[in-house]
Amino acid sequence: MEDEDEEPPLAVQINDTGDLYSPLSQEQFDKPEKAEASVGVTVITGYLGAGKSTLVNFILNSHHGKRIAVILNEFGEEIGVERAMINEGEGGALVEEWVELANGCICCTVKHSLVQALEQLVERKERLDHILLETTGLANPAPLASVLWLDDQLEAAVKLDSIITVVDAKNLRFQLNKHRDSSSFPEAFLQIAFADVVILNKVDLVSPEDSGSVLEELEKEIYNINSLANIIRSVRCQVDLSKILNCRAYDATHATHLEALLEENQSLSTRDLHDSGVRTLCICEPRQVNLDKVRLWLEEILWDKKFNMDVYRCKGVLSVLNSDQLHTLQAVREIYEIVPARKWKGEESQLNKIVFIGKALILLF
Amino acid sequence: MADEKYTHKRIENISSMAGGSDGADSNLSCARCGKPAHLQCPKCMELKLPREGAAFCTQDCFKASWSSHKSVHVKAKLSTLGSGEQNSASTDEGWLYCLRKGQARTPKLPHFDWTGTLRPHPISSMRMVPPHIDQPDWATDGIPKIEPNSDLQHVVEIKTREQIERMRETGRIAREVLDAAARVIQPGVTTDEIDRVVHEATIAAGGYPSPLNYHFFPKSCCTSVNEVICHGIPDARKLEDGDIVNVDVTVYYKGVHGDLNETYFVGNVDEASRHLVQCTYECLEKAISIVKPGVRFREIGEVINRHASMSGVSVVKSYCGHGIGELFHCAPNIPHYGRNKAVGVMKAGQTFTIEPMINAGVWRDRMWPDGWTAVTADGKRSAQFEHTLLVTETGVEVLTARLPSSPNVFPWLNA
Repeated sequence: MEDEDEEPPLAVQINDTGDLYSPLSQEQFDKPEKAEASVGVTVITGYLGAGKSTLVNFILNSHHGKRIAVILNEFGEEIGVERAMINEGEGGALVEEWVELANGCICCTVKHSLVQALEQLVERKERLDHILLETTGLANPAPLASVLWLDDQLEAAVKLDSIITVVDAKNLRFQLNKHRDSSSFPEAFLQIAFADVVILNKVDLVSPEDSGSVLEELEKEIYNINSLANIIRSVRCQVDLSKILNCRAYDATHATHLEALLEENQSLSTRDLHDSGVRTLCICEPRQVNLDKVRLWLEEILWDKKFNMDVYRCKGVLSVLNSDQLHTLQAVREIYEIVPARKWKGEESQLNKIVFIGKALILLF
Repeated sequence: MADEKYTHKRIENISSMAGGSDGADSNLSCARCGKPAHLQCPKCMELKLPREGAAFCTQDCFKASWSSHKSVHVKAKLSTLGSGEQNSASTDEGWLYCLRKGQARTPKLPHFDWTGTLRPHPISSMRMVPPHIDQPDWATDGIPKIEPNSDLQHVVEIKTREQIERMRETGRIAREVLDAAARVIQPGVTTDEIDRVVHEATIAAGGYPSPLNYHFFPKSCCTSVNEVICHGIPDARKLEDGDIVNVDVTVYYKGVHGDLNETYFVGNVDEASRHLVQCTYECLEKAISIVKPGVRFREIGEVINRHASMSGVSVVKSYCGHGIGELFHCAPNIPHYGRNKAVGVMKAGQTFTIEPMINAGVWRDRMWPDGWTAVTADGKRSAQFEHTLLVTETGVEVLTARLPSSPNVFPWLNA
């Protein structure tokens, strides 16, 4: 939890007889509620040097007409302020800004101060299409995901869109193997396990002769850890923006995307247990399920850590007894939700499919 | 209205502008690096603190010094505000409007597009707590240190028998303090006066009023009138016939906190207000009735939401119930609205609060310039009730329950 520090206000010129309060600290004139769709937030993780900044710059500078803000999570919460860059200047030029983290009593408030700060940013701007949260040195994106994955009921101005991790094709093998020599769990596994999109960058640096098979090996390795992630190869992070923005990966009603994902995972359970112990496990069940029992079963796994299983992510589609609705399931660590998403279509085969990503997973029903 | 967007470049421009200086500042050196300084900390200016030690050559040096420099403001504030004098007479001398969550004061009513008819009033100087009273770590400098870093923010504590005993005692004291406040409520009484009663009753019992200086909160309890949802700051405003007012008390005694609140009628209130307050009371009552081991925390919000919907009122979503014990606020987080993703199930030995805030109109809230007071977005009224609860093997024990001596102020409780 953060410390309750305020941000340093703007220092004033000595003999400045103007307003006592710096522009940053001045309370905002509140604008009337904008009934607009909430702005997506993408969390970008990855090792130093993998290409996070390259990706961010690529997104900011591409001429896509979108107004995008990048929050550089540099200071953590000690200073109480984050630096933001927005491409809203002349011709899309970058403008720097400070985002103040709300001080104080976060303990009885539902929204974390980071969320409140992002909402204020959205409110202040005439138009903001997307927010990128670039993390520095963050091993585990789960806490950030928990904070950003808000209840729909809150009708917040921002919502978690996806977690993207940038990995370095040249160094990934080394990074994944590192744990063999040390006792610490390499960040690479966590970052891949939690990702919705994995950008396999610097593919041009992999030696051209055997690049084809090397890259395929790497993708297989990534897939073994997290079969739900969409893997995109890139050079200098030049990716198709439509694949990484507006993913709606945490949108309970965005069932089509989820179904397509699970389709690929049909009969999948990664039998080759990855050395890290992190793996993907898929469960299929043709019969309709009792929702209450599913909840209890899931809670034993997620909340009680049954058999010491450590689940990082979970996604699924459920066919529920006494319901004509397809239900979606989504979980990040202990936080989960099961939501009716849409009516089953007449000709569809109503199957239950659940995919778990985590450590020490064993099959249980 | 100041331009809210600024960049590093602008700071450099300011500092390179030829100022209409009177020459005295050319002697000032940057507190961090010693170079000639032309920038000053605006908070020091506001607090009229000496420039020496508060001057900087660039925004970067200022920023780098910030974490150590700002303690100067806190010290200054404590010495000027804690003058010890109680402004019991409602003279305006020394009473100022609160800003920045309690870290600043201003003589002028701040700008805001107020959602209802209520306005902030000036607040009195900070009340003192005698040294023999055991204080939580934020009492001295406004900053909780143990609480934010505790594991108890992630794991729900199962209290020991000994802790439970202490919580029963503290819960009872908190109840008695709240009852004392309830007894003085009538038209013409200021919320500052209510605060004085709470403050003195708490200290007389040997406890510390937990809200005092919690993240710089300037008073010993929260008083929330009419459209104020929660965290209202006691001030110079007199209660009026027809108002509703919530008083939220938390007492720290023998190392644990006890937290409760009730909404009271001031004189004769209209039917809509009576309905709102009664419905809120019932929301809490129904929520408490489902508390027992094995129940999901998520369920509390469903129960409250159901009753509120049926009664034609709405549930505030920005604030939630919370774990409590040796910490003021800790896990679990208990939202009061339905379809929430609260994690976990109740177990015997857990202690937490349930504190639904219910609005006559829309559920959305806004924040006043003081950084604490939450008001309804549409200016309509809001009510709240709160208890500190203990999950027992078979159900629940209300640690802050009404006593036979509690004032008879809720008409629906008379059979």
